[in-house]
Amino acid sequence: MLQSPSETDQRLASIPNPFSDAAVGSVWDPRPVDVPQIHANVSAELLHLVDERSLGRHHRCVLLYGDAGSGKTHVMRRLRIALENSGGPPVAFSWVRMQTSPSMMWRHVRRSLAGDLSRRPFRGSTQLAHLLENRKQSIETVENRDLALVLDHLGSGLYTRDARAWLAGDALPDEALQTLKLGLRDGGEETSEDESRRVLVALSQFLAPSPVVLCLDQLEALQSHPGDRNGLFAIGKLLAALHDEAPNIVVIGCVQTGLIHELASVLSKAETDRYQPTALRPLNAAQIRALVKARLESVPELERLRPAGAAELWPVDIAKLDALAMSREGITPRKVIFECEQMLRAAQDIPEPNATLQDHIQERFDQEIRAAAARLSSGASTSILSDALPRLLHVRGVKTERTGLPPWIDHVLIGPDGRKTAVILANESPRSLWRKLDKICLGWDPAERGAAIIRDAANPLRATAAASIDRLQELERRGARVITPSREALIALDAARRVLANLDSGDLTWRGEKAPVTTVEDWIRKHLPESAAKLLDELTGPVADPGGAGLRLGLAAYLDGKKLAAVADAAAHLQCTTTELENCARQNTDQFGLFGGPQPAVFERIPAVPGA
Amino acid sequence: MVSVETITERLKQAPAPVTLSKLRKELRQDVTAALAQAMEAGTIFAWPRYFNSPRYWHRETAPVVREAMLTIARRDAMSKTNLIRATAKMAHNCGVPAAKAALTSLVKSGEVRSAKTVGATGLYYATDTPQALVSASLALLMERLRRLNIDAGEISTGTGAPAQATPLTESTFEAIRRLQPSPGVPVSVQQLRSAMVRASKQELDAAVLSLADAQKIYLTTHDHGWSLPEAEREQLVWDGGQKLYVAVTLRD
Repeated sequence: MLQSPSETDQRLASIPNPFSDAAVGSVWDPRPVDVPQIHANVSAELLHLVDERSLGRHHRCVLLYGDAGSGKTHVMRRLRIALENSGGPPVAFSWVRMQTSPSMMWRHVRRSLAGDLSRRPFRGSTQLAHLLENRKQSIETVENRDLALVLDHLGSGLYTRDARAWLAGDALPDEALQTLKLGLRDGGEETSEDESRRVLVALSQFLAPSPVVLCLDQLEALQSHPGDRNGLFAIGKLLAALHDEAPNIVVIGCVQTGLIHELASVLSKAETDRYQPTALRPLNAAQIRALVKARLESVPELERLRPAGAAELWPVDIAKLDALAMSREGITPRKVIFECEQMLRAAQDIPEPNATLQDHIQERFDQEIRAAAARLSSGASTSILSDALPRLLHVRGVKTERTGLPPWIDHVLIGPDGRKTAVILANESPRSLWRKLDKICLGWDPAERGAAIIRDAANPLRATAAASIDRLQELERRGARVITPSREALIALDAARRVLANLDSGDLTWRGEKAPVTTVEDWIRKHLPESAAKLLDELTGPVADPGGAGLRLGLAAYLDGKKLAAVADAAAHLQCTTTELENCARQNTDQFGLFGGPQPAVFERIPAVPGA
Repeated sequence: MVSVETITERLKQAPAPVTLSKLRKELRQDVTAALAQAMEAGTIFAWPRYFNSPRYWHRETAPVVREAMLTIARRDAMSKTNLIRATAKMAHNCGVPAAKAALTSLVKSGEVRSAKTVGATGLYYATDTPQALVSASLALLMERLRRLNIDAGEISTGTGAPAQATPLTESTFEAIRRLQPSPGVPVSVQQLRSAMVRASKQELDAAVLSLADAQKIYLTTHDHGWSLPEAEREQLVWDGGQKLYVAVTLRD
């Protein structure tokens, strides 16, 4: 039956826009639209590499260059699906978005690999379950005792929750370690990072000769800011170490083409020899047409609404896309999809959203805040702080350094007056923390640089951790600042670092293009939640501690089990006056709250999740 | 009050002149006195207004406009009106009077000339790049022939061969082909520059842009090129406007 034009318009307006999602957020994204002829040669090359590795042939790592939106993550996703659907023996596959700091990179890769292998659904189970099926006998050959035990538990289906957590690098309570028959950890930061590297290599050796595909996406996110050479060094070291130590790992690193010169100028010949570059080029006319066609066909209703005599790719104006393809930069798939989304929206007579770039950043930040709040665990604060602080300090114009430092320092910040402050992250369990604090007491020279020791509010030191509290108070007496970021501050820092990392990687877009760096940085500078801004102020401001770190630590430890206590009781326990205690609570409102009345009480504050 | 150093540094980092209102909004302080002092010290310069808002930058207007006009005139010969219009746009919307003044100065110094090759309109081109005049004249001629319904094949047969690329453009293309680690992998412009030592910055920039315009290569923009130190920035390819390019990739 013929439809009237108004009926057609109405139906067109009601159909979903097949171009509404321009970015592939993750390789685990199940959406089906793929155009095999786009980047077909690169996909074939990667599959060939995996095949070769299965046969025991060792190649260099692959460094995949491409502009923002060129389809790097999409190609990884295609590889993942091809391997999963191949019908052959399972090949371990992991995708790591490198949004971490160089000093945490091995822990980050370990966590992602363990999560992908042991948690993500794969052929009705998990990748690790399939891989363990025929390898139970070879667990005995694993030299790393703890890893062998954990694999044994996972293979037998015992203590799976704790075993998976250990595999990911989580710090387990002593009781859980004893149940798993694992050794108790007592090392510092250096050991955690080294341990993760050892576990990763041992795990890949266990899976050999089967290949392990490790996609390291957004390698540029290892930089704290554009131009950060420490992050580039880290990329070189990571690729070289994986190439040399884990021959069955197929490493595919993704990086933006814009970094090509910086990487070449920073990395040594030995490092550049360990990777082979390949690239995703902008789309040609035939690829543009194929992409548009595939997206249009994903909504069959569109074909039924096509007016008589309309062009093949109606309602997309292909000439406009051709003109963009002829620009100096060419056109990426993301840009094609954005332009088509606009054209379809116009055809549907749906007005463009009236949002500004500022609104868009706010929306992305709010999303990240919600995700960070859901993700935050007591073990995550070190990785958040190590990555977020240098990023946000850079946004505030403060320089940071990471190279040539003792292992107990995460990074050093250089204030506007040239004064240096060592930022020390101290979220270890009390059993290993006191050792680290000992090293700081011995190695720190206040005349050389200041020290800011950060332990987050989610890890309060209990009264039983006397050795650690004593050393912290000793360091404080010598002029170190002890800073306790709240849960709220950690959530804000996590969200901000992810917005900035996505910006650096070109995944924060505005109108089909990479969002302008200065605008986003400016927005972050102005809109960072107060809890996080206060932490940065504390780090960069003059040495002063109005809240009294010693009292603050003591109060946090006292309230850890109780949550709520009478001010008089708390003051008596901490040997201070009630006024001092109340002042401390008032000056640290992100940690504590006060109830008034005839019997005032102090309580531990757990902030509401912003935007939830 | 904001300091002279702060305002100078802010303007040094800016890729283009900044309006007074934007400076006020960003710095949230009175900037007028600092601007006046910095201008007096010669560290910043006033630019022609944009939408009636005063603008400031660390580079003086006249040399920037001259540079932009020369870049355009090296790439393509065109009529006076078009050259002024294109320059005004490329030189950060400097306005027609500033572009006119630049043209007068460049013609006076002999760096830009005009010639009537096809028709009565004079074509302006950079004296050191007569190829721009040749290309534009040929293109104009071709266009006139096409309007007479003479098709491209007949034109090509009549002229013997399509217009030839300049030797520098050709050698640049060859260098890119040679330098790419494998087909389709980008080459950094710094690496290209090192391989083309005989070409000046302007010449190589023009050759690269010309290859891109001829659909021979893709260019990759540098995200934070304007915040690089000047020596590093000079290594990049500048389009004469806001864009700095860091890598080139051969097209299919």
